[in-house]
Amino acid sequence: MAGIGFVWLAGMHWWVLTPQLAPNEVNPYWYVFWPTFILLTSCLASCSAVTLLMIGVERKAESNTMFIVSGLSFAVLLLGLNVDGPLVRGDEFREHLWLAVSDLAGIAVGSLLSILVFALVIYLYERSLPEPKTITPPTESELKQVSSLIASHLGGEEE
Amino acid sequence: MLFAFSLPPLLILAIDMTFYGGFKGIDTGVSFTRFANATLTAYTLCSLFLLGNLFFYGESRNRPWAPLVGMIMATAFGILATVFFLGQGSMLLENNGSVRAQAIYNIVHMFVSSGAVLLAVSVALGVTFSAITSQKQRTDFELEEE
Repeated sequence: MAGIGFVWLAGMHWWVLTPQLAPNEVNPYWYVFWPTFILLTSCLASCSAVTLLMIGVERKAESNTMFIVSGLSFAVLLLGLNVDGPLVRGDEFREHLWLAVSDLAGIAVGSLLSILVFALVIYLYERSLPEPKTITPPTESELKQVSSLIASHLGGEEE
Repeated sequence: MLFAFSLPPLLILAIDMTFYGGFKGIDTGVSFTRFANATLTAYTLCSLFLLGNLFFYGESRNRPWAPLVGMIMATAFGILATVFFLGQGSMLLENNGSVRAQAIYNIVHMFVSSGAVLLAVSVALGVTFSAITSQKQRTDFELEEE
């Protein structure tokens, strides 16, 4: 199914399936989606392959599978950069590929900033809360009473 | 792992430098504009999402107002910063005539990018786990099997 999906997406670049707003006018959001998806798939598959090798035990076969996925995605990227489709030219794809890199970096920075602010807000609030009330330690007589109670419930008659 | 993640774009850069003698197709001005817009939009939208999460955090804290107000201020800061920077002439406007058009474009753009990111994560995770689970089942107790 994933393979069919990839072939379909490739058909949207190099065949007649390219999404269009008007005849011969490519939907601008296709230029956003396609490079972002294919680049990130290649990056994540490569990262996953190395992670399997570094963390996993005897995961060489699985790691090779991920390297193949990463390599295939990268090959599609290179094809997109060098082979023109009926409506999408390689130069346009290259331009949007680097915009996708900027976009992904921006999303990562923005999301991390908001998560940091969120953590800071919770940290400041939790720090401003008063300390929870602590109870006084048990007195000597209370300790004796507890130890006698425990002693009466432990052990058993010797046979 | 970080190097493995950034390897594909680095490889493309290396290929471009080898065959074209430079960074072909990179317009630093346009790329910076996209980066800045993506940062501001991601910050604002992610803050809004986390603001919703604070509601559930409050359930275990007798619904305090202080963190909610803090997060609302942080989100408002993101929205104001976006409007302020978009209003500074053509610095952050990408083929859009007004601040409102750019803001709406940024949001739609973010949804499309997020869709691509989610799909890529699903594909990478799905293939990883299908590769792991399709292998022959291992056992740590070989002696017991014998």
